[in-house]
Amino acid sequence: MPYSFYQAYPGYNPMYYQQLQNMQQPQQNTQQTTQIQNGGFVMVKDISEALNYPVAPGNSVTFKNENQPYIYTKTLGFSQLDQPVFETFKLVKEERAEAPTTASEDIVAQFLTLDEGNALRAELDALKAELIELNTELTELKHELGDDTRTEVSA
Amino acid sequence: MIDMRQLFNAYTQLRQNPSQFLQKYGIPQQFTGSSQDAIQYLMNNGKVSQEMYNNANNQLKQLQNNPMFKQFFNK
Repeated sequence: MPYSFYQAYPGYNPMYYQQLQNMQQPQQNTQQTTQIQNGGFVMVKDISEALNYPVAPGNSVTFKNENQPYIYTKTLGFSQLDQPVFETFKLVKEERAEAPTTASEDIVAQFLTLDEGNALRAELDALKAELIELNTELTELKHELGDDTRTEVSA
Repeated sequence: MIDMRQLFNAYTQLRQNPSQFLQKYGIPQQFTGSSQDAIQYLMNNGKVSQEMYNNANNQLKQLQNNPMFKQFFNK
């Protein structure tokens, strides 16, 4: 039977007319808040409500199931001959990311800071210079020793 | 502000003869078999935008959750 929605509300009694007018105003006041809370989603009770929801050509509507963790999208192309595309997405709760662990801190600790790197480079340069100096002294000593030997031999 | 008397008059006409009511507002007979067909016709022709329908649907849901509305229509 068509229009079951309207037929579910048989005739009205004029005595309620004023009551309905009175409740109209607060409804308008709360409308904006509710729309913001929905965040662009159309809330539906089940998937059938989303499937039957009218969508204008060239539009896409996103639905949120009020009772189950599902999101639906219904998209209609620009042509009226297009069939609507209906997609279902299941929401999976993701636990909050844990605080940085000691393992990751260890990894960070394995890297040198710039200051530490510069200090090491300076130390290495000093050691190189010292090594060169020692090598020079050793060469001189060898020469001296060779000269002395020659002197002794010659003497 | 919605004129409630006009709204109730329209509502009464819609209840009495839905197809005639919808044809009166320019909806072809083949789209008057159900409210779903009628609204889809209006949206396909750009007379009702998606935003307009979403807002109307949202208001209807709020109204249906209103205790006074329930008291009024569930009698």
